[in-house]
Amino acid sequence: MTDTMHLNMGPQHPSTHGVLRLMVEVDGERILSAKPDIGYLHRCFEKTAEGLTYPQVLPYTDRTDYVAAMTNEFAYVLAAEKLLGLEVPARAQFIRVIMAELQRMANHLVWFGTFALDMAAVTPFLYAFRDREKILDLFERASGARLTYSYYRIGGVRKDIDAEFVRMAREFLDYFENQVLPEYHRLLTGNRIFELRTQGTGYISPEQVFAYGLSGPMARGSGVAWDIRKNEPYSSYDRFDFEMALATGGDNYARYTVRIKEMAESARIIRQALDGLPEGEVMGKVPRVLKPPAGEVYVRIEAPKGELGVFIVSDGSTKPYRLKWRAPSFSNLQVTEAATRGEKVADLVVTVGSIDVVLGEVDR
Amino acid sequence: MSSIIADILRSANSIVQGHLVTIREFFQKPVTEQYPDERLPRMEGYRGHPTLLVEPETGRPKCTACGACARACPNNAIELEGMKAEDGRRLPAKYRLDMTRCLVCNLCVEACPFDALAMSREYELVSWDREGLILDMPDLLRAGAKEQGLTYPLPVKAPVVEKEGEKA
Amino acid sequence: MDWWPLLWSIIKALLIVVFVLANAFLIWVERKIAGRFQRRLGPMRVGRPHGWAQTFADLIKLLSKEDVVPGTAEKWLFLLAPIVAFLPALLVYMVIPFGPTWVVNDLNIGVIFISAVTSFSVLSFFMSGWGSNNKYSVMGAFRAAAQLMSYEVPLVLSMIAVVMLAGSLSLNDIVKAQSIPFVVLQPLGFLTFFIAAVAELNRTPFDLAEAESELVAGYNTEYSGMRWAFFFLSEYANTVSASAIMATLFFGGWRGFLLPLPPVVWFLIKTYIFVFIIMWVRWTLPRVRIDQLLNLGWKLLLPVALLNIAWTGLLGLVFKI
Repeated sequence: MTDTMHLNMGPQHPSTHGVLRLMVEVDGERILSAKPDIGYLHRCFEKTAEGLTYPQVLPYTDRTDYVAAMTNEFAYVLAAEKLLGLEVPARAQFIRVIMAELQRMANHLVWFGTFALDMAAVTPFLYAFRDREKILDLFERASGARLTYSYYRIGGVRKDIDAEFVRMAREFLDYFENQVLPEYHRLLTGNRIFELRTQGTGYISPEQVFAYGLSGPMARGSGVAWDIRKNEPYSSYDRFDFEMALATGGDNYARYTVRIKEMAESARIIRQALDGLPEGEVMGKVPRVLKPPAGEVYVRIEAPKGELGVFIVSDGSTKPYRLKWRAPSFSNLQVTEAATRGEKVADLVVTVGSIDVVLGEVDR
Repeated sequence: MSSIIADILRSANSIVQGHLVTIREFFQKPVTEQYPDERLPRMEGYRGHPTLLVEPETGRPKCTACGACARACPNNAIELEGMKAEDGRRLPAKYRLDMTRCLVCNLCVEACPFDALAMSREYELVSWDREGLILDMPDLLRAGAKEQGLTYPLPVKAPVVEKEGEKA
Repeated sequence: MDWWPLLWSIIKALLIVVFVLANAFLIWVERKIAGRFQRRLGPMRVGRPHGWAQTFADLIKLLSKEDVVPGTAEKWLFLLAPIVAFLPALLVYMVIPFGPTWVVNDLNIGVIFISAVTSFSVLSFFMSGWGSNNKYSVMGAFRAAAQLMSYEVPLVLSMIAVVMLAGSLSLNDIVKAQSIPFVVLQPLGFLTFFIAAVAELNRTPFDLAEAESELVAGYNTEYSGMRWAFFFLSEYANTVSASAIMATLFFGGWRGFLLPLPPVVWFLIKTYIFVFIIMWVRWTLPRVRIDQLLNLGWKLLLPVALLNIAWTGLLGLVFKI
């Protein structure tokens, strides 16, 4: 019987996606257990929100999952609107969907890059950032910011999009579908080394998906057909024709294919939304002071990383009594230990990469 | 045996394909910019930091020190005090924006009932020390006038405001 | 004038030394090449145009850094490892023929000398990995040991096939024997050699001993300043020497074709083409896993290398080469 070695990966380590600490027990290269230790980026988001009025919480939601700020705002404004019983104009609904799907593409591009980087393929990482930059240009055009947009508003969106934005978006979609995706497929998807590294590693069974409360690409990669955009359409998602990206492998490769396919589907949704963009206002009738009735509300949306839920308890004042942020990364991260037990140290890095964690969201 | 060889050939092909992608990119123009020498154009509507706009006729701030912006701010980054000008109009006596706290969320601009605030288009919001990030009224008016295409102070007589601002 | 040949050999020796020192410029070259592959510019700031002085800036930075020795390290192993890494990298240049007469010492056992000297690198990996007393380092060291030992075998076997064709162990004789470059006669042997050499060099896709995304920096995690730079420089010196050996063994070394250029120029062109290809591979492929690496070495490269020897024997039998 040999001694096992305890290895502390992180919080400062090249591939822990921020400040994740993994307490790993290894026997040589084989992993006996890998426990995530979180909390290094805790900023009291939920408690802070209790001291802020409803509109003031919005900029803070940007900073939970900072890689996908638009969808965070989306979830929050939907919850606040449900609580207040507000109507949102059709044009704003469409713009919200366009932004959310662009954000999904941007998020998956970052994920694609860092996933490749975890396998030491540096070049795909920079290609992904090159292409994401074009999405950020679109966001800058629409919202005026490149990372923390503060674009959605309770009752609509801050600013209308113009013809130039529509032209830029179409140009980007053409570029993305005709050049970016084929390039990624040639560079990485079919690559034998990439296949060897991802196929059969980090296996998660459909039962584990339910046991650990996984959602988003993590669930769909294991063959669980669960996409809130399809199953419980919110905003105007029921108006668009798209397929749920699904794979049955349950390994890292399956999750990779799900995300790549999701980007293509997002492009389809954006095209439809741009074509059918209704005219009209982008802000509904919103009272000057937002004072919802006492009660509670839970709203969930399909964020790029999975099910993003917002639970708000209102006591009838202008500030939420309690706000709970159900972050997809947090729930998905739990599966690390089950998915990596018995694998090599190199697989651990890839599997954690495939979960797509953003520590700003895990710790909040 | 033949399946092994087919697998090896397929693997070799996939690896060659990857190299063809990178060599194609090798001979294309780099997409990066040499930042301090070359600057990307900012998009229309880029949000820098909040600024105070001036009335072009009088050179005074449009602001009436109502405090709506300070109340809208999630982080209490704005501090202000009002005063009464000689003609009876309310003006800010002191207006201080703490950029170390500002989230650049635009909520103050939206809250302003007089359209006296606007976001600048500056993106180099850095300073050597903390004090440099605390913007007083003259700084904010200068930046606001720049957004309006004016230079602050305007060449019109309204010196009262600035003196007060500096005193504060 | 009988002092002329002496002077000429001194000049040649100095030029070879300059060539070896020029390896340091690969730091800049690689960063530029990596930048272009990734649609970036690479270093642009230190020295214009195109940041040519980056290497000097890097060296000055590294020299001015504190020489940190971890308190729990095995001091002598830790201190000696970078030197052990750097020396074999330099020794290889002794037998490489830059031109028909441009060789420091044309040993009649050149090929054996190369394989003997390059095997030393595993020692330096292990010394640094074990001596650092760091978990990541020791994992890197174990990986390096397993990797280098298993790739030494196909490497040497593919070199043996070349020796069989040339009928000599001297590198200069091998070049002279290549009226047709040996890569035409044994493409499999060249591929085996290339893959095994990249693995010996510890570069992506076989950089498991360093494996930044897993082991932080592997065996050299604890090194800083000039000691780290020695590892870095020896990596580049090894890259160039491996390219030079590939050019010599399989592509006719200093022998030119078509253009009447001096032999040295031909040699350098061929060598640097290989340096470029090794960098190209590095900036394209993901890294393999340790078990996959060993599978590739033992289950694919070794049989192919043996097949290549059989093929070479057949060539010799049929065509009396």
